[in-house]
Amino acid sequence: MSYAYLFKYIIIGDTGVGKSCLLLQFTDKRFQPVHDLTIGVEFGARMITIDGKQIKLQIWDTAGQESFRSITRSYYRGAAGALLVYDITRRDTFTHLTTWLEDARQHSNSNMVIMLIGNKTDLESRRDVKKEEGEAFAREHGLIFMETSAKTAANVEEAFINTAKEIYEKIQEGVFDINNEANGIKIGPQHSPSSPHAPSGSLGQQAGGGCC
Amino acid sequence: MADGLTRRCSYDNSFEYVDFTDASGFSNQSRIGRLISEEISSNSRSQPLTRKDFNNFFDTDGRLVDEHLLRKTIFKGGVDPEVRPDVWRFLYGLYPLTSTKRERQLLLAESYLKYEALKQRWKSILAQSGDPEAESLIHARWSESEGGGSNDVVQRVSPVSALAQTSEGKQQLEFMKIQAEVYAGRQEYDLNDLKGSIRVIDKDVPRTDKELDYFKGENNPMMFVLRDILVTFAAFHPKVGYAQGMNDILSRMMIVLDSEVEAFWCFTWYIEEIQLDFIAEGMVRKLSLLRQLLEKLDPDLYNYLGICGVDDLTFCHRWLILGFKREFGFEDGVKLFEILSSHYLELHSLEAETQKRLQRRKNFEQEGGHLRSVDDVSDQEYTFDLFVAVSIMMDHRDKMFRCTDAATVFQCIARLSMNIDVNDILCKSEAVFLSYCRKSVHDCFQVIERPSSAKEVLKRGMVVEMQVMGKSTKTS
Repeated sequence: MSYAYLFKYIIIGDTGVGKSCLLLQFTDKRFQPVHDLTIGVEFGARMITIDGKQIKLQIWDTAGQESFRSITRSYYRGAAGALLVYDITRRDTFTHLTTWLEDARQHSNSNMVIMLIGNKTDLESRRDVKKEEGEAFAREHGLIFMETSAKTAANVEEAFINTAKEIYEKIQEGVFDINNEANGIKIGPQHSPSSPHAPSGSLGQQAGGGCC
Repeated sequence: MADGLTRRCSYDNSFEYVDFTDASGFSNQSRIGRLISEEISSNSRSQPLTRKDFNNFFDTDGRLVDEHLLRKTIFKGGVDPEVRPDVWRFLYGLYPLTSTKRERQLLLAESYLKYEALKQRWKSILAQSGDPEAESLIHARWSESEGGGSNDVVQRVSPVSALAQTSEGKQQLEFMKIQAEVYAGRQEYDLNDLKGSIRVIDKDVPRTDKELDYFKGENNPMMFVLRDILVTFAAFHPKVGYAQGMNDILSRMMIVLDSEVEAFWCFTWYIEEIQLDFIAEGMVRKLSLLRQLLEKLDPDLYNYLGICGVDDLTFCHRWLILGFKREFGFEDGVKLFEILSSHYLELHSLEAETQKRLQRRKNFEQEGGHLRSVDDVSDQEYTFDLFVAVSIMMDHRDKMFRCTDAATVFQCIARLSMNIDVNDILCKSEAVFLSYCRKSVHDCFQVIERPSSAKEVLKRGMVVEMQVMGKSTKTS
């Protein structure tokens, strides 16, 4: 399937906050209550439409534990968007946001759009972090903010799509250099005449359907 | 995708496509490719080790007599599930290979007491810490009911009670109990790290192998056992603590051994052996070894992965850290795990390698040469799991060459999960390993065979050896 743009995302945050579940809900529209813990880096993709244009989101889901950071950090580099996730029922995942943010800012390109996500709104009765606190943190650090539930799918689409909209706007404003793939943005095959690595004519199909 | 699945190894020539690179002028590649093809046609897998075979390994005192053959048998065919627990107690260090039957009886009783003392110690450390959350740290957060105590959950007839039958045994037991207390009291720990570890463990236990009967369901008692073992390990290994993935290693040991205490000690032995792999530098190091090996064995594929932006090979990380657990079904995964743990090929070739080097050193000294040590990556660091990883990549290299970027490579690798034939890939990995060894030996002999004065030969021999080493130490 062809696309106008490809955006690379990275999902980061403490272990067990629901990063992989958010991705699965977004790509497969299903919730898996018991999800194998992520070792290293995993990957998902989905096509969305913004402003009538097909945009492919390529999403890198990372392991949350500290010891894996030496591996996952290299994925910050080429990302246009980041979803920074915490669990609204666990305050420690909220207090760790500062470290995550520092890490992300240090290893990514400066224009990366960061969406702060307070996940697990379905567990309202166990809420430990107020929505206002999330909003305040986002405001203070210049992030977009949403609360989601990977279980009920509430706001999941919006979180991924709003991040894409923000990136798209930045492209329109000329903030992103779209010819530099290190920014996490790629122009689709019908917009760029050739690709250095792929046999001609097969890239669209390859990117959509995988390689094997 | 799985076209190699039903073929028997001896008829499988698929590694010949390594020669694909000939056209691009990688002559080195073609030689190793030829060697691999030759090895594949000559090697084969055997039947699993049975109880009868295993019993034959012991002398009248119950001492294991031929470690080398045992390792070889495990390597060649794995272990029959029926005798697996008995074999694993040796393979994963619960019993020393040289122990007698009588010694093992005492050792087992001692293991029970020590484990119990360690478990009690972290619980009392937390209880006395004054932390308001101590209670939820001692007992799992997800334990809704109080039915979660795991003491003696999966312990068969305890070797401790067996020992307590006689008055002499009782005395011995008393002494062992004191020793166990002292042992537990001596272990170092870090309270904050311990609390941190418990929080992560409590996140991970409820999502460990839930699809397997052994761990199925909420408040399954095995979850509490899994937790207690992980916490006990993490508490007294402050340098490594708990790292994600350890749960996957332990769950497998619990299922096979079906004993909390034995699983704890086998797990501890295993992780202590490879603990570096579970800390950040170790992970980076392991992947860098894999890169070096792939670069040597299939430089063309390695370079292509570089073009795709994945020459860091992070997509193989899960394979290595979990011993390929998630790439195979339970039985095949367990079999591969024990085969990797037999370390037969590495130990075998290491012996040969050491001999070879010693001889060369001796010759060199006799010629009056001056020795200096070189900081090298010796071949012994290329463990067999790295060869399995390289073999999987080489086996699917045509698909990998069709990938266009990092995402497609990850997708390609994800699709291999549950689609690899374990015997087929073991055959190929062994062939790759042996070809690699033959190639290394060949490289040395080529130089030594040159007609020249003895001194000149030795000098050149050393130069080449240095070059080989230099190549191995090169990081990309």
